[in-house]
Amino acid sequence: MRAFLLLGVSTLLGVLPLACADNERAAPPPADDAGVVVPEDSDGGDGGETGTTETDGGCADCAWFPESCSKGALCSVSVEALDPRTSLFAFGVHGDQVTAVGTYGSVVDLTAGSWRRTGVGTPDTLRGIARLGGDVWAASSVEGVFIRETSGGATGWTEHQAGGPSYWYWNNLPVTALFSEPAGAWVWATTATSCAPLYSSEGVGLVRLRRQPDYLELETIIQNRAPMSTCLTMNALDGAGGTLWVAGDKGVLYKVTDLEASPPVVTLERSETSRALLGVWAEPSGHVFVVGKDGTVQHRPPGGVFAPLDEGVPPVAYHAVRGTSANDVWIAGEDATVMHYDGKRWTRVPIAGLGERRPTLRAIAAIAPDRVWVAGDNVLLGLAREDGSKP
Amino acid sequence: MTWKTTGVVLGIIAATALASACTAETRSVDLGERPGSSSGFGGVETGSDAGTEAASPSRLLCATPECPAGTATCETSRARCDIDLMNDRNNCGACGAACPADDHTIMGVPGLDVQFFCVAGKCEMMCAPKHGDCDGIPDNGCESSLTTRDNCGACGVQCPGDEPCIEGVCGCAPPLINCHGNCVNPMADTWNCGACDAVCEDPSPAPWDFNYGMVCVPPPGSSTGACGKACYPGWGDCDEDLEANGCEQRLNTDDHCGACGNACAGGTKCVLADDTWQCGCPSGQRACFNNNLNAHECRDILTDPYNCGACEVICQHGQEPDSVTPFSAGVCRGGVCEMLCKIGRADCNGFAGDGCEVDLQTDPRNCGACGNECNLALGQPCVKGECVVAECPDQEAR
Repeated sequence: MRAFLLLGVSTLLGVLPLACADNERAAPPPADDAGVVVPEDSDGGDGGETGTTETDGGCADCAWFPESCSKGALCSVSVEALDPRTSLFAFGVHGDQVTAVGTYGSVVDLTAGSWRRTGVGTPDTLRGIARLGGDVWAASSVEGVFIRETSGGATGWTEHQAGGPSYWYWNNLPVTALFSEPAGAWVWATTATSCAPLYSSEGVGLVRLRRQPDYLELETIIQNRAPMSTCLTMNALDGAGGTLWVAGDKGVLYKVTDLEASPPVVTLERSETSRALLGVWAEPSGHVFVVGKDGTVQHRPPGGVFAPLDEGVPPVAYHAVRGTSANDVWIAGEDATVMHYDGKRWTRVPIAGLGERRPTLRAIAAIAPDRVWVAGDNVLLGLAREDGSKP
Repeated sequence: MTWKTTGVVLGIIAATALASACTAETRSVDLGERPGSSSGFGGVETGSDAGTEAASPSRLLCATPECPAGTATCETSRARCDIDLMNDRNNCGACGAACPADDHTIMGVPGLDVQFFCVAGKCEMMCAPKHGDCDGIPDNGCESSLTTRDNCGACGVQCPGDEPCIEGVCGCAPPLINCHGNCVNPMADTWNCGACDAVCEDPSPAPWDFNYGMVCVPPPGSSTGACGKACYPGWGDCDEDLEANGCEQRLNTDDHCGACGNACAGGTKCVLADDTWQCGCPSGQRACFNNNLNAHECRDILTDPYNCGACEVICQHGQEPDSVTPFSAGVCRGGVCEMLCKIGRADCNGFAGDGCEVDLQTDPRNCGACGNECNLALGQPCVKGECVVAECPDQEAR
């Protein structure tokens, strides 16, 4: 069936370039109040199918993908020495330092205004990045953790793995995301399950790690057991103010508090959706946003409950959500879809320089309202400068 | 694109486009008949053949709760009309009409060595592979093995002399030779090294911990085997004193990696890659620790579904609740796991944990595609991925 769908999609995509030709030569669409470009043929994000409106020429989305960079658009930037097949999964932000990690052991650093790839030295698929005590951690699995000891002035990566007397798993745990608190002692990792019932690690969704002289000490924090499905993968985590949010398949959402205690307090929360949750952002003042498949966007105000915040959002899978405040929220996902929320409504963000590609976007770094990076499958995007030039 | 796929695509487009012509109870499809087109629900495929519509009378097809000809809902059904009576050996021609069970010789216990198939709604018997009904008597089934010297490959084919029958063929395939009715390799067999009965014997056998033994290998430039002493695999005679201590050195260390004196430089590890010890892994591969070897082994973590993106990361295949055999498979592409569905199955709920939980061939809620509902109120079944339709009653040809 997927092949059939692909046939349909590829057929449409094959038609798109012809239909798009005129649109791509047209002048860039005007910017809205928030500085976000609103293509002329869009419905303005007022609740319609923003991303799927067809033009007369049959091109559904050309207006969102201009050739040239302009104010309010995300613009494709090049990365020196990056394998074009690379998928980038996560950003790490510390002050002005921005680092992305992804497949083929890729580490991409923003240095002096330009992006350059280095690597951890193995082809691991790095899905998480965190900072602990001045050192940068990146991980593919709990037995594939790479640490750049920047606190000691090191620029290279050393490999570490979970071990020690309490580490008894028969198989490795793939990491899906990392998180650390600014002054915490642990690095937290969400993990995927292999859905193999005989494995002792079956259902493990959240662990935390800290360094010991010869290994990484690992504590299991969440292990989904019957009556919940042990095949649940926890896909994302984020925290603020001493509270950690952990999001996963089937709308499963946990809240973890008392993070330095042993054990911490884990609570199963109501996300009010049963769809897979792929991204979470804990806004510092207490708002929580989670995103996931089929256009899922849920919002929880401080002290409140989760409710949908998906009006006007195209129904694709969203992998990432980040922002600088509850009135400046970005989400990104499939089909090169990026939406911006200004506290009132969602607006689609144009992306320049993709040509005919519509890659899945998997990570966001929102450093300031005018400084945003988005990364995904063979793509790195930055919000255009005030003058419309590339970031 | 083949005519069939063209028909399916056009049929779906036509069905969608013409859906507005249907009533709430009966969804009808305006069909332009095409010469040679099949009747019944399969006829939907011809729906938009505008080129023939003008020349042929059209008929309306309506949703129906009835099973198409040749299908039925039986006791073992998981969905309505999901039994194909034409080729289901448990329901061959009719519900419950099971073909006889296959009967094989197993572990010396004699059987009839026959197997049965349901073909066009009738059970048919065939001999099991490598068996034949050589005596023509049906009661004892396919009594003859076709891998014997008397019936080699077929009934009555006898192998000449003492030639063995190997997989239904008389004689030994080169480089093997016939030694007393057995095929042996004279370039490797220490009991028949270079010729039949030429045994490799060590006149002064070494202690077991000398890690070497007699081997039969062809000398350089020779096409026949010769006896000689050799270290066991993974061991080396690095001090070149075989008589004193044999092959004393393991060749999986960082100082002797794959060969005596081959030291791994720059802190690289001695790892196993394609059954060979070498310093470091080939590009794109990663050294993963193998508990059984107590050593590192190279794995292609970009494609290996058991080491995907990292060592020992297994790509998930789901656990479909209705089957012990998974309909999904975890694959590894570029170090990222993906789940693929077998043809006719789909992951409609987006949860990899239950795999490809939907049978697109029979599920009326997801008929042919996720979310494609048949007329559930009417009880319209889904057969072979299409909602069943039949000619509307009381219609006149247009």
